[in-house]
Amino acid sequence: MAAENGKKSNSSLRNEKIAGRIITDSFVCILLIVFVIAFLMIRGAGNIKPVYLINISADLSGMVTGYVLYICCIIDVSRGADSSRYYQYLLNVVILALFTDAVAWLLNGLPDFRAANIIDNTIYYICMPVSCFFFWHYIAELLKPEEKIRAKLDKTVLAGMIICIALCIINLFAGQYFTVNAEGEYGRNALYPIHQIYGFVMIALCLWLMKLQRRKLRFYQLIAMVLYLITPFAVSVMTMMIFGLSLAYPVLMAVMLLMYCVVNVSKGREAAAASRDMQVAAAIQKRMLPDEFPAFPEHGEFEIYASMRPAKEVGGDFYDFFLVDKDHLGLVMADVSGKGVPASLLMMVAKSIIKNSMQAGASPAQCLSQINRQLLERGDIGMFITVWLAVLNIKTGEGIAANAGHEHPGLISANGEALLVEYKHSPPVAVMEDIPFTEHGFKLNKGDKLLVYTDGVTEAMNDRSELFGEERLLEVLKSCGQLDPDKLIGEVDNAIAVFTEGAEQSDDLTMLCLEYIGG
Amino acid sequence: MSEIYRTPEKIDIGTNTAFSEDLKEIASRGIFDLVLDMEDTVYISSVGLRTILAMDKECKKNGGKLVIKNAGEMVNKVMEITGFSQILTIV
Amino acid sequence: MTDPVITEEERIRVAALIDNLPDVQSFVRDYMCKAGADDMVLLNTELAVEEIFVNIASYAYEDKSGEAEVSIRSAENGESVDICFADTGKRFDPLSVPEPDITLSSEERQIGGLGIFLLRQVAEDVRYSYEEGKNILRFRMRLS
Repeated sequence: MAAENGKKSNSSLRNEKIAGRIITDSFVCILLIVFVIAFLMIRGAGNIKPVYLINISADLSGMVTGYVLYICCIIDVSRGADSSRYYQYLLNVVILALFTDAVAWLLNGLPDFRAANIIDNTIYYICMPVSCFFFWHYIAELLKPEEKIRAKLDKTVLAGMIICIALCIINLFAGQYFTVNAEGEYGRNALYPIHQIYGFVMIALCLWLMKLQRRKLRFYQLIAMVLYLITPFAVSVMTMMIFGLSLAYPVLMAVMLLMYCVVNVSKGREAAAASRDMQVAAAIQKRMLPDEFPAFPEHGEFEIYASMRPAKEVGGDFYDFFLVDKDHLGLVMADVSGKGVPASLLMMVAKSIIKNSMQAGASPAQCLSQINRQLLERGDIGMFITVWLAVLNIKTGEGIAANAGHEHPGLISANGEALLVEYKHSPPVAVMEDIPFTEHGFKLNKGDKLLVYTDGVTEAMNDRSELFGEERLLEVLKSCGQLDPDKLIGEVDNAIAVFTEGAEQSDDLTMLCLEYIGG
Repeated sequence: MSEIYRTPEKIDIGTNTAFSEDLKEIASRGIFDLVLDMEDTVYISSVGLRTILAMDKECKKNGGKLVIKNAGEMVNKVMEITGFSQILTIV
Repeated sequence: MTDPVITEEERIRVAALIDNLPDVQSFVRDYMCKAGADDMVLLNTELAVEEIFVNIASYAYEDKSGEAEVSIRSAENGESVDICFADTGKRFDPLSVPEPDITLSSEERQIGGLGIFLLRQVAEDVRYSYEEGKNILRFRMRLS
């Protein structure tokens, strides 16, 4: 019944699965709740001892709370947030325990239902070791003790649980924990405390583990956890002594609610802060890329268009174009490895260095050397940037380009032929200090178009895990080669959208197209 | 004065330390004209590339030259992908 | 090349130590051979495995010991193999974040951007995620 952590396959399929899960599980939960209420009404509230009514009400409240929490977990998973599998399993078991507890009180004193009463109570008893087992795994997952310790304890906890469950089953024959007599009344027997031993041992174990790993948690989290352990413990002790009141599980559910809130408030704050940071980074990033078109309307020698569509997170792709002097245009297409704020920071730094360097007169290869040196000045940064750079003489169409590990540019000649200009490239920038970069000359004739892009284009993936690839890109360029740069890029965008059929965009889609008209 | 060094079958994280030390030893003897015969090498990873490039820089710095010979399919592929084939002299 | 399709997943767990790299590589290589990968793919896979595993062994657990779990299975279309590395070390995305010791020069580092660049070129769909307390790195190798 527990939800799995969402995997990044097809997001709409995932949403369907999650909606399906919410509906099925809601149905089950509501069925259980309605069953209890119906049973209560059939039996007649006046016919039941008041103390049992307190239990049943507490159980019902607990079940509703549990159901709501469970839906929250599923929604967390659908949003891609962390949600512990074991917390969900624990919720399921506690809901079951609450249900069987309520039913037990309702069946009490009904001799015709003696068999059902016994089975129901047995299930109730079994819920205790099972919930301890899941709780142990939940805590261990949070606190992450060393593998060896964890493995040993996992085995012990599992063994204890199996023994405990076995004893519950033996109770069906031996009646050492409880029996239901001929009048349908449930009674605890002498050996009942033994059943509780596993629970107490587990609580002690968890407390010990928390002490061992106390550095891994924040203070308020530790308090919440201790409360979580101690409160049901205290309530268990109370109910051992007072027959009639069984509030351990409702209290446990209340504590689980508390835990969820505490954990989620802190996560929520962190997530909000992170998302705010991302939004700021994304806004800065957007402002840095020249996006006013037509660019350089006073220059009729060329027409240029570019676009960057970031993936969900802030990305590291960027493009740039600027006049180096009145006759020369600089072009840049680059991709910083990685995603998120670190990549976007590096992207902004790199873009500035490249532009400054080229406007100061550096040739493409010199520019790459400079940025390589500057980025690695303080030591290796662990990230790299693939870059394609060129300087184009807009009067003659001659240019010099350098490629540092970047995708091959597409060239569409005026007569409609399209190909990828493949030549041996240099290493990416920031991979190693002090390496030479190579550049080469090229010539654009009137009507030629150049398309540069990042791997978000060629590595766009559909649901069948196929890549868009260079061939499909070339096909689009061949068929749409006569279009203006902005329309051409639009066509490539469309082709990708059609190909991926709505699968999630996992990487920035960045393209720049230049049409050379002539000087 | 030049020397020929036969690189091992695999240059990976395990064998790179010895490889790197061998090259350093050659440099310490003042030899900066080096031929790396890579005929036996079927596999190379990023650590190996760094070692070779470091040696190439060292040789160039001292007025010498590092040449790679008989590079196999994988080595060539890796050199091209990483762009090191543009930096190193491969014959 | 034989006619392939194995769809069962196999997995191993090893201590995250560089000395265990050959074990991981032979585990992966055996599966890929059974799946019908050709020689160049085998070499590329070995490369991908090395770059990732060395990363985990060097950084995931700092000075403590820990394990890495490697799982491998055929993709549905039978044309590729999906490989997944998981470790329970500190949260770290080798594809995005600058690595811990940034004061070393590139020669001194055991691993770095170059390895990740190579990985990206030889493997497809390289993805990182952090799930249930584990760093998970997945990638796909085409069989031919």
